[in-house]
Amino acid sequence: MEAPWPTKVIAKDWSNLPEEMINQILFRCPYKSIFRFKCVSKTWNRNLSDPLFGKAYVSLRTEIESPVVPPHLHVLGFFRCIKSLSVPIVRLEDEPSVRPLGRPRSWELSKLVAVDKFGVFDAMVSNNNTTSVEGGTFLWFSSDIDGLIAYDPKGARDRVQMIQLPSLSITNCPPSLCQSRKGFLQCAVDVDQIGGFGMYTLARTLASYGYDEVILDKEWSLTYSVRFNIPDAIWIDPTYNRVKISDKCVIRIGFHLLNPLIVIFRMGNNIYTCDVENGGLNLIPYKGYIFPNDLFSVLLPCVLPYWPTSPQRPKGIL
Amino acid sequence: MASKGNLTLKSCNGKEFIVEEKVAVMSTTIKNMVDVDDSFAQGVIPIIGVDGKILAKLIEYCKEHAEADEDEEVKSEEYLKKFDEKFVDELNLNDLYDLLKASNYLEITKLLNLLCQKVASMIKGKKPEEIRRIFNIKNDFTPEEEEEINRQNPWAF
Repeated sequence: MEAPWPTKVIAKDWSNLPEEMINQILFRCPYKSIFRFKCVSKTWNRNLSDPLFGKAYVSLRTEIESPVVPPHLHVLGFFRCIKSLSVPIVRLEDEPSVRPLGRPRSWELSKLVAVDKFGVFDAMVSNNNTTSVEGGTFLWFSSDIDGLIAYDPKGARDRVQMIQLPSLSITNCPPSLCQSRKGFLQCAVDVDQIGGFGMYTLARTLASYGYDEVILDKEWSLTYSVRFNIPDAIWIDPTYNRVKISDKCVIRIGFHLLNPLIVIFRMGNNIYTCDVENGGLNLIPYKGYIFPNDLFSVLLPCVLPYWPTSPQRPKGIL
Repeated sequence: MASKGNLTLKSCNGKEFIVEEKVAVMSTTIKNMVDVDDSFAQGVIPIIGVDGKILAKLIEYCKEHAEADEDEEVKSEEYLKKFDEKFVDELNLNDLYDLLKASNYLEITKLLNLLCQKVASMIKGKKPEEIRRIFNIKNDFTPEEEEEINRQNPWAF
């Protein structure tokens, strides 16, 4: 409940309080208030926009709300929590080097930090995994929640949806996302360890789910399943005790820009397309250098996500 | 003259309070004074700029918390929480202001945090113009600039 502030005479001059103390008070205000208070004056705007303020704010909030303090946070904005998970999402500033491709500038979001009741997890989502569907809903993959975070800047404003990934999926490689021809969210995820993926489609449009809802894995249905038989593609690296993927392994890059039934992936230094409807692989002549160990940072111009409107129905593949 | 283990605190309007040392040293400022100069422990410690009414409040707060630190069974965490709530709820705005300044000066961190939390709960959800009035701040934005900031943070409104 909001406590009233007396409207009559204020005998004490609150502007006399040291700046540090005013900050201490502001640190304890909710996210929304902070952003509203930017309008108070130029000094307040400067102070509240200061990365140091954001950093101190987040670390204090986290200290109060949970014992883990996230490192190096640069807070620009905040999202309200999703009630069912009680996870407030904090929007962080973009780094110029990880800017998403082809989005309106005012909505460039690249990193999320989520704070839940068990502590802070860095729902870090690299830009390569950011995509947008359905007229501008942003989607991120987060390995921390092993799911997707959807944000509709027009409709939801300050809320996000959590979308569980289709069950049985493994996430060696973040899911590829696009809009199916019928306008539903479509997602390709790895389904086994030796190169193969399943293409799933959501039962309803994103907008038809509530903004506070967690969209469960059962909402997905498998539309296509593709397997590559490359036996020694994955092994455990004994030094780091981590799964490594060989050059032979198929690594999904994303969907064809104009055709949601074509998945683009790389194998070694080659880029292929796979037409899941008709079968068959096609080698794309691609001259750019692909970092052999760089699993996730290969982004080709041709796999730009849909933005802001759905493109025309394609005429054939690449 | 305070007996051993006790300290005498004197408010700016001359009111003296005899308190146990463990209560007084909840204030880092007083603790430093006593640690550095033994004569403070014997004589009277002047608390500059804090009047008797506010000092009594401070002592009330510190007493509860010092006792709770010493014996958790008698004063449980739950008890303290209730005490804190009641303590800040009974303050009027002027006392709140004076206590904020006093606990800042005396470095009673726990109390300062509690008071800041209280003020935060009072100002949260307020409109910018109310904040300006409370903190006596002049709006130096042009309407266009204000509009621009609103535009940047649409979810805040």
